[in-house]
Amino acid sequence: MPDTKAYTFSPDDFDTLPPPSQTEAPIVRKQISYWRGVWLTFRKNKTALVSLVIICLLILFVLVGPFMNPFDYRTNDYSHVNQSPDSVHWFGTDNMGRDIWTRVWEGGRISLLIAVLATLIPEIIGMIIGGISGYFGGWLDTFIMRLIDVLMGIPSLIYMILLMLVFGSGSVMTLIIAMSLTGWMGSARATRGLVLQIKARDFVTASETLGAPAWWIILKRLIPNTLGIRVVGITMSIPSVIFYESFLSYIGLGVTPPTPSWGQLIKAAGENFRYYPYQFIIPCAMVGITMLCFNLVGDGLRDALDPKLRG
Amino acid sequence: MSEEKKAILELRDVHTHFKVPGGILKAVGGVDLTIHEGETLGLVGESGCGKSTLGKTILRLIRPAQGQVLFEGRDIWTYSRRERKQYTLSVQMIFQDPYACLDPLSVIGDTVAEGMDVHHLNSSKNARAQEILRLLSDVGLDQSHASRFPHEFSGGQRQRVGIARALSLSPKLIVCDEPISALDVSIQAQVINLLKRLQKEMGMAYLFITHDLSMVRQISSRIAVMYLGKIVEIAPSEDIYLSNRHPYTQALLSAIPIADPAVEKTRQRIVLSGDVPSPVNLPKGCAFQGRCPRVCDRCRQSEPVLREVAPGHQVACHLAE
Amino acid sequence: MSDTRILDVRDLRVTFDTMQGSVQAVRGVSFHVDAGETIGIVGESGCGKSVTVKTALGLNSRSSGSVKGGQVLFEGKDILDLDDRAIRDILGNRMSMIFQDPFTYLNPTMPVGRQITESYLRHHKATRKEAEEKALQILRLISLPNPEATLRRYPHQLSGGMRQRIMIAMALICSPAVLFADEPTTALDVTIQAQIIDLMNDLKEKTGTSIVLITHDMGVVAKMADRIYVMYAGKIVEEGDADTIFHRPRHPYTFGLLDSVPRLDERTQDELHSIPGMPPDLIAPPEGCPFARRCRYAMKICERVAPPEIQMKEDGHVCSCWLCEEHCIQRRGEVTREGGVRV
Repeated sequence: MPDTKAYTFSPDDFDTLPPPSQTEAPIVRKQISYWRGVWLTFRKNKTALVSLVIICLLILFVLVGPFMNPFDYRTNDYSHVNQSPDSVHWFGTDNMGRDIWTRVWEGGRISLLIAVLATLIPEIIGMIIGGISGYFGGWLDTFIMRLIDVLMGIPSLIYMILLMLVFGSGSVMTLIIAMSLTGWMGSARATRGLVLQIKARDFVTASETLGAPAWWIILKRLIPNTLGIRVVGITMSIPSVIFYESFLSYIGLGVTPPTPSWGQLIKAAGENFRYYPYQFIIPCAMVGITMLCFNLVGDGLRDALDPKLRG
Repeated sequence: MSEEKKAILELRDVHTHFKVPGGILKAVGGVDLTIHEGETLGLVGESGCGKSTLGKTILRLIRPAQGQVLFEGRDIWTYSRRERKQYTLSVQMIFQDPYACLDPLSVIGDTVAEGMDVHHLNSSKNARAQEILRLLSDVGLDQSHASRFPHEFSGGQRQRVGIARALSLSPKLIVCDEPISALDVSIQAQVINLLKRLQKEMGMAYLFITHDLSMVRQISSRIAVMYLGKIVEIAPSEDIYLSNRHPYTQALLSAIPIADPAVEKTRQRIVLSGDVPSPVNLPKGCAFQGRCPRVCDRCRQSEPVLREVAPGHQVACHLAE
Repeated sequence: MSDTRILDVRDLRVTFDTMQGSVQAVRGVSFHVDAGETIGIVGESGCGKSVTVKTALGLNSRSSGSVKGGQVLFEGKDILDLDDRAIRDILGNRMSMIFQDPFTYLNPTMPVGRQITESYLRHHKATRKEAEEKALQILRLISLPNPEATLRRYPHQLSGGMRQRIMIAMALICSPAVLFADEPTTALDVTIQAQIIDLMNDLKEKTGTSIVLITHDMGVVAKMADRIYVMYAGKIVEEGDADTIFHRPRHPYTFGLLDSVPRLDERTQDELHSIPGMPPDLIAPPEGCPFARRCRYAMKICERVAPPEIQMKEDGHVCSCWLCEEHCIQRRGEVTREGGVRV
């Protein structure tokens, strides 16, 4: 508080100002958008940030790695079988003389592609089914939920085997379709739960009173508002899809040779693990690192998205 | 006076029920009400009296268990698809919670234009943008606000956005569900003034739902007081304050503190004992009997019905002269 | 200083760091509470009234970094210097609080009786039986019907008004010196609000507990408070006894608060008085008077220099407004609520 005694009045001090305007004052505060706030919080979590960088590097190598040396992933070279890593074959060669460096990145392409598509496609299917179920409620909701209960009660491996028999096993597309058809139930349940909360909010009622049709409300109001919360779950489910793909390839239900995937590589190398451990360890490490990084990023995202934990 | 005006909305013996564990909750238990063109009808009551349910029933969001809602003479539940669309263009709503009523992911311009987009009212992108700017300036917001997100606005500004959205379809009736109760006092007056100005310019009718008897006087031409799903008194606005007859209206008015300590010290007050009973198991007779300071045997025997005690003034009480 | 002074808050400053910058929520607030009186702190949301009270209760300590200056003297100790343990000994015991929404502060899995006795057992050496006896005594004091049965109920089985009564019982069981009430009736219906106001006034008479009432409702303040502080943008702009604030206010913001609520005993006006615009953002508070931009009497000096606290002729009436400064009165005459400028 300034000392009045010290203040000398200037002659125009008591002149009146024009009356205040009735219109609203402009916004003074520099506003931070929701996603910018999320990024600022996420950035503070160093582990998650490093994981994100590693994921970006992995994607980069998956894209350019196979072109960094003259070998391709399918040409056999029986003069250089089971070579240890050296300056020519950076990760060594396998039992048919194929360059493991090239095969690891080529396999990573397949594995990551499957991971992303086999996460996103069932997620989208689940969101739409969950959105419909939650918004309409009533008998439709009951029917869909019971159906999901039944479907989830049966082990997904059984569907996988059945679907593989129908579509024919081996191709990447088949694998993605099969995983999409078996993976949407969890997403549908989670989305339905969120939709039940959001549809009680006034802005949804406002859309209804404006005469908006159901598809408009589900697609424009309900599902976008679930995304912020679902994104964590989506990120966290990528590692399990990667693992599942590796597992399916390992038991022979995944992609078929010579197309490599990380699971394929691990399976092939597992037979000679005792003699050529590097052939086994490198793809295992890739799967491990990828899973860990996606988990840590998901963890960081969860903290960043939770308004209660944001500073 | 009100007889000459044309009725746009009529409720005839409307009952609205909800299934709850332990019985049926009779949120609205037989309401007759008429809203005239261009008037403001205040609907006052405490929480749980059914006033919001009544508002939602009018908006066609809840189907009444019994009775009719007539808009311009036609039952809104017998509408064809085209008539339904016409009805949403005619009746709109303003919400209580300025935070929940706007989609956090939509910019203000899109929120305001939602109704026009749903009904394809604008011929071009340019016309749409013009319309958004006109609506924003009607409610005292700046053009630059159209591209901003709701979280950048204060409660009062958000409420203005909600009003602009309701205006976008040029409705004949706006149901205002507690539009000011979540706002600061100095902002409440701004919003009331805005609503009054808009009504003068555009001539729509308001159903103004509130629990605040001091603010509702400033905007309403008639006021209906609701208790446990029924209208207990309805009269021209000034009559509710100056010649009220129902003991519940009297208790409500006397419970509101007046911002003047000198007046408060000398004021006679009726303090009601007890709480509002649950609308699941209502007693026989008058619903207010448990809290009424003037309760008598007749109140426990038979239920009072609304009857006219003065022109335009109806009361549901055995004891009202 | 008088012996009866219980709580003395001096020049309190509280700042919160957010992602957009530091918000100066409380900017030099002083108030005091004497024995047996009710003070009202009135202001709109975001004016810093709740932060002030939380800090006075020791919930924002100096060590957390948000308290930037000032003192909170309670029974001879500065609350801001105490550690968590010492604060826990005072809270619920010598100072207690009731909130706007009792439901979120009651434990839904515990009968209310146990919750009432809990704080008594924590602060006193007493057996469970003694504590229950004490709880019954309190429930009779707040005239709750059928207290024995109520003690065994769970929060969800009680109505909003009943829950607020239980909160009051919990707050009063240790006979605190000060009871803070943050918007105690805002979530309640008017008829229930009237019951709770009467109850609190009655309890003040019976127990002698001082009450700090935080509210935005001028009507509730008129019914309860002996002295009133009007807060705006993190500062106290006017203080005085209830009669002065309601009948001879001098700050234009106080005029605005009183005018924007239509009184029940006044007829309909064509246009309600409203305060134009909205409060300033406390990330970058204006240099001069924070109310200048919304004030219809604003002068050039108001935008240049923050007004000093000026002692008015009534005892204890202080107003931070240039209009009350003697040079200004000489030039422009006295500005009052009813008449505008009186030369």
